Amino acid sequence: MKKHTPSGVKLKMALTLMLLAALLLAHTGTALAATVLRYGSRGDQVYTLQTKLKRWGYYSGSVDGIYGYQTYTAVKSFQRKNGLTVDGIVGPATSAALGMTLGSASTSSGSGGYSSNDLNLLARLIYGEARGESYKGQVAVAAVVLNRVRSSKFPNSIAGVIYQSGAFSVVADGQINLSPDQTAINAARDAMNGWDPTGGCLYYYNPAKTTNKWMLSRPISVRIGQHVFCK
Amino acid sequence: MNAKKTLAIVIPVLLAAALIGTASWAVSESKRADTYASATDAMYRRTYMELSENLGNLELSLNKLMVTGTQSRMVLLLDDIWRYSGACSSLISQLPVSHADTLELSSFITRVGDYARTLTKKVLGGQMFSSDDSSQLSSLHQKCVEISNELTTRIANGDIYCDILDNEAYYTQSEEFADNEGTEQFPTLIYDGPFSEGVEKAEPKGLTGDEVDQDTALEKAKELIPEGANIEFDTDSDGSIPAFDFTGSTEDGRNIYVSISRQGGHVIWMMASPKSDISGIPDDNEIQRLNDIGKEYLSSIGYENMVPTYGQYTNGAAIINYAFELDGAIVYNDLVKVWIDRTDDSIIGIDARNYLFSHTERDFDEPAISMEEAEAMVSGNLTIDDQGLAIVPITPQTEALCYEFKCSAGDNDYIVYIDAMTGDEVNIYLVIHSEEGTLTV
Repeated sequence: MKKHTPSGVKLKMALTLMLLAALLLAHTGTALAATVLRYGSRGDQVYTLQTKLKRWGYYSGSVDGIYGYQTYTAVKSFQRKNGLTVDGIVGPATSAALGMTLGSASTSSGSGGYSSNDLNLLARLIYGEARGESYKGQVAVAAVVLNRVRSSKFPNSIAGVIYQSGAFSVVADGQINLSPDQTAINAARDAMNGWDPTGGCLYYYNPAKTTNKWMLSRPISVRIGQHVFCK
Repeated sequence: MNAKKTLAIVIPVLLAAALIGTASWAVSESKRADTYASATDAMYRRTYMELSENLGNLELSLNKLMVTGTQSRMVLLLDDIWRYSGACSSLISQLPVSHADTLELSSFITRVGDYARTLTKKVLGGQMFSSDDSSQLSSLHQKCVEISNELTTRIANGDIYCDILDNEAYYTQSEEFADNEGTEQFPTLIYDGPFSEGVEKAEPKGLTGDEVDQDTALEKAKELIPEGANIEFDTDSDGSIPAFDFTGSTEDGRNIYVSISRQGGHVIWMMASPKSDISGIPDDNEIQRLNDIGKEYLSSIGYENMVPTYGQYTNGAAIINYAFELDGAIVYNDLVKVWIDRTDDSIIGIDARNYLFSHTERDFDEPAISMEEAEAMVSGNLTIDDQGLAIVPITPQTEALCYEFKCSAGDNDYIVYIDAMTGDEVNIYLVIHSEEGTLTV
C-alpha cells in the first residue's frame, strides 16, 4: 500500500468534498423566479416566506431571501403541521396555506375598462423590465404595451401583447413572476389612466445592450433613462 | 491505519453514489424536458393548423361576399369575416414567429375584420357597397387566397418553426422579407375604423400656434407646476406630438415631469407624484369643490368651457375628466384630465393629449328630432334619470350630435346615445361604480 503523507490525505478529502458539493449544487433550483419556491430559490418571495415561518416559530435562521437547508426543514415542519404534502417545496397548496400569493401583487380596481388582473400583469412587466429606471421610464414601458394593444400590428389585449412568444425576455426567464413593488403598480396605473411619456411608441431597447439590426433601424422618438423608444 | 483505510473505501463509495445520483437526476430531467418540448411542439403545430383553417374560411367568405345578391346574406357573411379575422389575429399572435416578419400580415388581418365591421354598419344602415368597397374587397380576397395557399404549402412541407422563440429572433427579419419593403406586400385598406391607418397616423387637430423655442417652452412649463417646484430641460421628444420634455422635483422632493409641444407651446402632460395615498370617493360637496378647482385651473391656462364629466379618487389624487362644452352639448373627444392632490388641493397632473388631437371648430345643425322623440327610442327596459346633448365619436373620423340619456335598470346604470338627426341608437354604455370612482364601458 502506498504511503500517503498526512497532507496528501487532507488534500484528497478536500477535493472529494469540493466535488460532492459541486454535484449537489447541480441539483439545486435555478435562479428562475418561479411560481414555486424550492431549495436554492432566492428573492423577495423567499424573504416573505422566511419572515412568515419565523413569526410562526417554524424557522429560526436568518431572514436573507435564500432558500437554504434551514428554510427547507422549516417548510417541511409547516407542511407536516398543516396536513400538506411534506416535500419542502412551496407550491400552490403550501403558499395558499401560508397566505402568500406567489408572483402576484396586491390588486385594486382597474381603470379604463381594463381588469385588475391586467393592472397586476402590467405592473409585473414593469418591475421585470424597468425597475431600475426613473418613474417616467417605468410608465413609458407600460405605455408601449398599451400602444401595442391599440395597434393593428400586435395582439389586441394586454395579456396577448405581454405573453407573445419572444416579445419580452422577462417572460422567458421568469422575472415576470416576481412581485412588483408599489412604484411599479403606480406606474401601471398611471399608464392605464392615459399617461404616455413616449408619444405613441411601439418599441424600446437599451442601446448599450442591443445589437439587433432591425431594432436599431427603427426611427427614435425619445430617450428616457437607459431606454430608447421607437415607433 | 484504520482511519485511512476507512477513508479509502468511504470516499470512492461517496463519489460513486454522488455520480449515480447525478446521472439518474440528469436522466429524469432530460425526460421532463422532452415532455415539455413535445407539448410545446404540439401546441404550436395546432396553432398553425387552426390558423390555416380559419384563413381558408376567411377567404371563402370573402369570395361569397363578392357575389351575393341579398342584403341579409351580406350582413351574415360580413359577420363571418369579422369573426374569422378575429380568430386569425389571435392565432397569429400565438405563433413563435418573428414580429419583424409578420407585423404587416398581422396588421392586414386585423384590418380585414375591422373593415368588415364598418361595412356591416353601412349595409345595416341601408347603404350598398360603393365601387371603392367592391374593388377593395376584391384585392383583399386575392391576398387572402395567396396567404392561405402559402401557409397550407408550408405546413404540408413541414416548413414551420415549432419551438420556443427568443427575444432576439422575435425582432429579426428573415432574408426573404428583408428585400420587400413591406408596404407593397399588402393592399392598403381605406376605411374608417379603430385599427385603420387613419387612426395610426392621426394628426393632432387641436394643436395651434407657431413653433416655440426651448426657453419659451420652459417658461410655459414653469407656469404650470406647483409652488416651489423646480424643473429643467431633459430631452427632445419626437412622438406623435413633437415636444420639449422637462424634469425636476417639488419642494418636498417628489418627481415632476412636464411635456410642452413645440408647436404653440401647449402642455401635453404634466405629472407629479401625490403627497399621500388617500383613496375613496368623497361626498358630493367635496366632489363639487374639487371639480371647481380643476375648472378654474383649466381656465387659467387657456381651456375655457370645460365641464367635469367623470372622476376617479385613488392613490392620493382626484383624477377628473373635463370635456369641452359646445352650445350645451358635451364634446367627449375634447378631453383634458386634471389630477388634484387630496391633501392640499394642488394641481399635480394634467393630460391634454385627447384635446390636442381632436379639438376643432365644429358646426352642427339643430337636432332633427325632439328630445321626446329620442326618449321614445330608448329601450322600455330602462328608466330615464337624466338627459342632455352630447357630441360623440361614431368612427375615429366622424362624430354625431346625440341626445344623452342617463338611465337605470335594476341595480345597473346605463348611458344611451340617440342620434339627434336620425333617431338611431348610436351607443350604450354600462356605468361601473367602484369605490374609487366611475367608469363607463
